[in-house]
Amino acid sequence: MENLKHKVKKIMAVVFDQDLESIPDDAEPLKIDNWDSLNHLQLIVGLEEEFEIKFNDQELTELLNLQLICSILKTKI
Amino acid sequence: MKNPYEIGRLVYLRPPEEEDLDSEWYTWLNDAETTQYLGDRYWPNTKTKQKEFYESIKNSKTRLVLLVIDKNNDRLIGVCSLNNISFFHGKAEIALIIGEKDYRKGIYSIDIVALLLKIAFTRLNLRNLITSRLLSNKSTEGLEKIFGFQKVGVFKGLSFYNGNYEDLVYSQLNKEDWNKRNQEK
Repeated sequence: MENLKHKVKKIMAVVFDQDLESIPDDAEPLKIDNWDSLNHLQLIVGLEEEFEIKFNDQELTELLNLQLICSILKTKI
Repeated sequence: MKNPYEIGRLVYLRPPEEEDLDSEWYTWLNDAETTQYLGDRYWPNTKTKQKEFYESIKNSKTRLVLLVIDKNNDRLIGVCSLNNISFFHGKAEIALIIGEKDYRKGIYSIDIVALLLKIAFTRLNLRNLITSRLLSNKSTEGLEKIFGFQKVGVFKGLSFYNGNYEDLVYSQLNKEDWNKRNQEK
């Protein structure tokens, strides 16, 4: 799970244009300045490309923060 | 919740009522930022015109317009629609506006599109959904990508936007692909 979280943080750091160290374990849109709706979509695209998966509609609506993203990814990879 | 038609994670969709004409709904269509990517964004809107629009859609079987309501506080935040519905061909065009700007951060648009797809493919039994967007509309492009829409065509330089003539990009999602994506783990 730690390795998965680190991979997701690396994608977040690129998408949100932040230092990797500045992405907290409880990262969510309100805690990261550049986590707007457009970058949220870019994050999802980045996750799908990195992990070679597709989220279904229900999962897309549940990707609300780092913890939930990792939980859903864990069920798919 | 008041008269929900479809309920999502953050929002629910309900049909508009006459009393909604007194809300902020009609003012959204005068805001340049809100309407920047809409096809009809040039002419001012009024409560009177909104009433005419409401009268035109309230019994329509070719246009399903639904208001987007925040589940937490019952606040009207946007409007979405399936337009040019053809039950003969099983197709419609999809559109949404988030009028309240503080709801544009986060995943509200994702919640709304997920609900519209569910309505189109399961309740109305449509077979194909179509989107059209300006080439520079990255938000809609992202939504199309994550929901599995496939680009099917481009009209070159068809739409005037920000001083330039931009390409209009058409994409399509069919029911089979939607079912497949939602059945896979």
